[in-house]
Amino acid sequence: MKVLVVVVLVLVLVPLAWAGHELTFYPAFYPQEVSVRWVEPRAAAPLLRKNALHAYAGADPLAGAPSEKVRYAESLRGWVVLTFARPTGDAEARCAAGAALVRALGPRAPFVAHPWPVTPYHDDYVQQYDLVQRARERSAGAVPRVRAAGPLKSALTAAGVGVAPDAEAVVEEITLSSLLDGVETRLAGWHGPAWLKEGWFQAWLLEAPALPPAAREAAEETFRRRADGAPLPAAERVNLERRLVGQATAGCERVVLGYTLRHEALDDDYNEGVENIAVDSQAGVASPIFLRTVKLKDFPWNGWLHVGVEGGARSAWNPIAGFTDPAGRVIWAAVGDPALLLDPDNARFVPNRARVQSIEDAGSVPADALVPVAGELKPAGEGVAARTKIVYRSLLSNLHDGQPMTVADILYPYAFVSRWGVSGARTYDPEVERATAALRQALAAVRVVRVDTETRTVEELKLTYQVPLVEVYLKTAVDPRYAPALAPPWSPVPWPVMALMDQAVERGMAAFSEREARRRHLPWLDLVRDPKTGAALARLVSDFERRAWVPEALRGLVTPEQARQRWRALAEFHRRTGHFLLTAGPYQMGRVTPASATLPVFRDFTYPLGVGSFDQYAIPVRAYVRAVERRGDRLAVQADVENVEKAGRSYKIVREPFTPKPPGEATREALAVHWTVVGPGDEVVAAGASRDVQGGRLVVDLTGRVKPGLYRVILALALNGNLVNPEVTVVAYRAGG
Amino acid sequence: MAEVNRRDFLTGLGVSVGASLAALPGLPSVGVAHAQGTPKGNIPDHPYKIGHMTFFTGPAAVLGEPMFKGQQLAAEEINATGGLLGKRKIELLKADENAGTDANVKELRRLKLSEKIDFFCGITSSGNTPALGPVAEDLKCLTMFVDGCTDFLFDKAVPNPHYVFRTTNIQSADGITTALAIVQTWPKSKRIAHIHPDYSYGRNAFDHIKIVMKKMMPQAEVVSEGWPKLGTTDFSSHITKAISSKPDLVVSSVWGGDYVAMYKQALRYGMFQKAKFATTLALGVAPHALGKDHPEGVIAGVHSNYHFTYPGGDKWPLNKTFVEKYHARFNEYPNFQAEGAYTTTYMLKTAIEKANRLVGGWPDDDAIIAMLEGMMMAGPAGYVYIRPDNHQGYKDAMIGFSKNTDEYPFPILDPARIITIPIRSITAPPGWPKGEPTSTFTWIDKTWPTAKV
Repeated sequence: MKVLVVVVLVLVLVPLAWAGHELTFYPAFYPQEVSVRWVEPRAAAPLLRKNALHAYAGADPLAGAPSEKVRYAESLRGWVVLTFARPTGDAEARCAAGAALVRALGPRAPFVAHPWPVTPYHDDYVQQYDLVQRARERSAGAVPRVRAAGPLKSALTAAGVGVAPDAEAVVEEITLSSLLDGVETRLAGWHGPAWLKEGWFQAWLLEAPALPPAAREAAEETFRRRADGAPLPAAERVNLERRLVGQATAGCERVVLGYTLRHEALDDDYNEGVENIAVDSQAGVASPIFLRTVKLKDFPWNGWLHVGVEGGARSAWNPIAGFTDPAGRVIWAAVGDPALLLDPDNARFVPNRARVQSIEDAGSVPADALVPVAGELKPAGEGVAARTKIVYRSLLSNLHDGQPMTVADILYPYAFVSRWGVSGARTYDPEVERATAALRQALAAVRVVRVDTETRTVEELKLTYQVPLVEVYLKTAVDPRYAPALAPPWSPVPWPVMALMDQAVERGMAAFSEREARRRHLPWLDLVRDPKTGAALARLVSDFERRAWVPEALRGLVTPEQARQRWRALAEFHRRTGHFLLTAGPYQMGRVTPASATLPVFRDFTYPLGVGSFDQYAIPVRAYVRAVERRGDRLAVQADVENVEKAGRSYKIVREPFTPKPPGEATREALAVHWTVVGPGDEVVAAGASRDVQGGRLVVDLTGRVKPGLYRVILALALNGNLVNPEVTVVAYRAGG
Repeated sequence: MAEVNRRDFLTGLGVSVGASLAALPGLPSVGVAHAQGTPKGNIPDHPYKIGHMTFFTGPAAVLGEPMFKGQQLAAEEINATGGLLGKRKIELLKADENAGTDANVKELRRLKLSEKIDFFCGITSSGNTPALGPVAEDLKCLTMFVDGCTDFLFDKAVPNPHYVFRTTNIQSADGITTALAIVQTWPKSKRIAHIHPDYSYGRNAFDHIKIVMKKMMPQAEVVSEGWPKLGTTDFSSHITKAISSKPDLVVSSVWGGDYVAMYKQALRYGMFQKAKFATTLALGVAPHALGKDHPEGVIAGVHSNYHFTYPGGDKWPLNKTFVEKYHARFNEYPNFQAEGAYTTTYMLKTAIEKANRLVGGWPDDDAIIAMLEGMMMAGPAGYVYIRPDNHQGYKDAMIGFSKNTDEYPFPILDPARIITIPIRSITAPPGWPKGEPTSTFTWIDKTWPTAKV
């Protein structure tokens, strides 16, 4: 195989005389340093009051003692459910018991009453809105005796509901994070499953454990059909999702009473506070988008950001199956750079270091494409079939050890998962198998087409980037909304770190996952905080450098001399920093104490994204339906939109009638109306989203989409893609006949 | 060159402390109160389209957003009276300069060719004006850059401008203004430490400060130079190096978030107790961009020519009114970009009105250009003059001393200690040969006398 030339990133300083005082590109994001401190809410309260914390990921430290200078970021925390231990009798009674509990609690309910698992914090809410309303109409039955604890117990007791430890039904909060534990993929730079934030998926995770076997079997079939990722007509897909949620909730073995919201504290002090904040609608502050937008008010950019996180930092710090607790998530969100980011305001992904150029039908896999097999990358040869080809641009940069990333760095993870994700192999970790199941099932081959040189001129700087164009071949046809997230060519850590972890685990020094570490009585691999493992890793690196060792998967991609150079750089990095968490992310691992980690920014001009790159995600805005007018077979939607007016260190949101923007005034996403047409039998006959603006109104064209009959059309507007807690409008629509 | 008394020379230059502006009768000024009467001829009533390109995202948005607001305020005022010549409402089309130079060039072409803009305005970055200027000339697009202050624009990129103008002072004025403020305030300083960003602005500031000091403070010596690299966030080595050189004075042209990070680190080292401090840009971003922990009594540059507190009180109603209107409209105080864009819009309006009086009807661009060339107008910052030979706007420079007051949640310039300098005194005169690093540098070097120690 041809040896690919090492990709070199170049920063050229062109001696031009015309630069002004204003440099307009600063690599990485606003704060110059992020310190993450794991601290319980009670201890966080005084820190917030004296501006020693700017944000707190967790429960409100000031609950009951609000401060004027603290404001809150809201996100979905979980659901409050009534679960019957041994459901017997008719479902109707159980459903009615749930309604009775909510009625009994009334305004005392420490949650938002909402009788359906798909909530306004899911972007498929608009497609299930009618089902939510129907669930609201359930009549209340007898109030059951329940078990409960904490604030729920207090509220129930205050409402006169019998709370007893021997009751057969329990009222409890199930948090979203607990639901996704063991389900979410956060391995290396990959994030999944692709429908991670969608309501139907989370509803299934919530309800499935409470289903009796027969009901579960039937629902599982629906789930499998929906989750195979195949492209389906919108109405068929939506009907599958509605059916799944309907099947999962029909027996009322677990009745959703409502949902809870997380209110996370942010310092809003004029001088010491923070602004320009995006938080994920479901993950809240502990999400990558927060660190990529937050700005200290006293600094146009730069400054020292202090983030508190509830709970300790118990999980090991490794990018394969570590960073699993909130502190770990925040740290990895800063240090690791994923291929794609979750859109904070809907369920989709947005480009980060891997950017989709096109999605096409594959035809066949080129013979020189690489197929990951048992830890190697083998030429596909003739006859490998694929249905989908996704072409990506991967944004390389320098690593924190100063070495430029190469295509070997972004190809190695494919080999890695084929080595560690296959049950029965000598090298196997069940967590890697679980997290990469969808990828391994879908991936046919990968091919580096070429490496482009791209330049950016910033004042007197001419920045030159190397951008590989990579084709990823998938075995099946995949819904284009999900395809980019399945197997993007990217790695937040370079191949030497992946290979080092691989060798360390194979040699029994540690295990990637907590579960496997427990099973094998090994340390959970920690690249930063375990001195014993660190010393053992250092010995390995030294040996690899001496031998100029090239992992099997990279033979032909990396020469021994190139490998020696990378091992040498990694050894030097470890000597300098004391750890092996070498990445190409926007922040670097700095000083670590038993209670905190300090993460200095990586303002290296090879880093391709800059301060403000995600500004359009800060301060989400909404749109509202003012009026809907029927024009033949079309609905014309008149809208109001919110506009952010910034003022010094604050802003206000003003609501104004929608007028189309001129083409040059690009926004993150044009105003869209999401629509669902529901027939008399509650079946969805058509669904979609329209950005078609005619005469200042958004147009939903139903021509030829529905048969004669009476329908309900559910409408919700998304401005800048924001589908969080939308205002929903339902209009009656009679077609033909 | 003969030696002179320093005080006499500064007086001769017109450098003064606490001076107020004197109204010059007969000159046009900003504001719709001065709108002309009935225009001559037939005036169309379709909108007058202005393409406004500046930074709406990214680090420079702290400059760009006020720039747009300044033009928006002027446009709203003009539209409230019926529009330009009472008929043509101004329609603003926004474009984000953060798209990058190549994309900006394409967008200017699109704005002119597809959107049919009548006028192009804005621009913050000095990397963009030299790229957009020639394109605007090529498109025959009447253009007034508000900033992008590099001397290079009219020195080399567009040496013979016809359609392109610029209203903000040139870059060299920053360093000279700060240097003259030092000369005026701390003339006996001997040991000077410098901390400047390691790119052309820092070198430009250093060169111009040094040449003024060579002439006016010949006893002064540079005892330390710190050149923080691009992307530096830890300034401690530069700060400690400066302190260890035992300077009387530290001078810096670091800007924006880098400046804030630097001064907060300098506070920890007690730098402001150990030496005096002078800057070219401490208040040269936006009033609200600086915290109240900023040291007081620092020579605080404002990018040469505007801070909203000067001219203060009732001494210059144009500024008082502008600040009040801007604050009422946007709930913030204007920066130099806001003032620049506001004044630019009124210069355009005035030129159109004058041209209409001469030729009747809606004047063509050449008629408007003829009126802009040589125009002097009273704006919030004082007078701005467009030199006909190079289409460059000139405003008197001002600088002052940082001060905290109860009135504002950020530091301002001490109203009692504003230093003003006539711009003609610190700019190479028309016809002066092009020089390196700038014409103004060689002009000072060759023509200013040396002060007696």
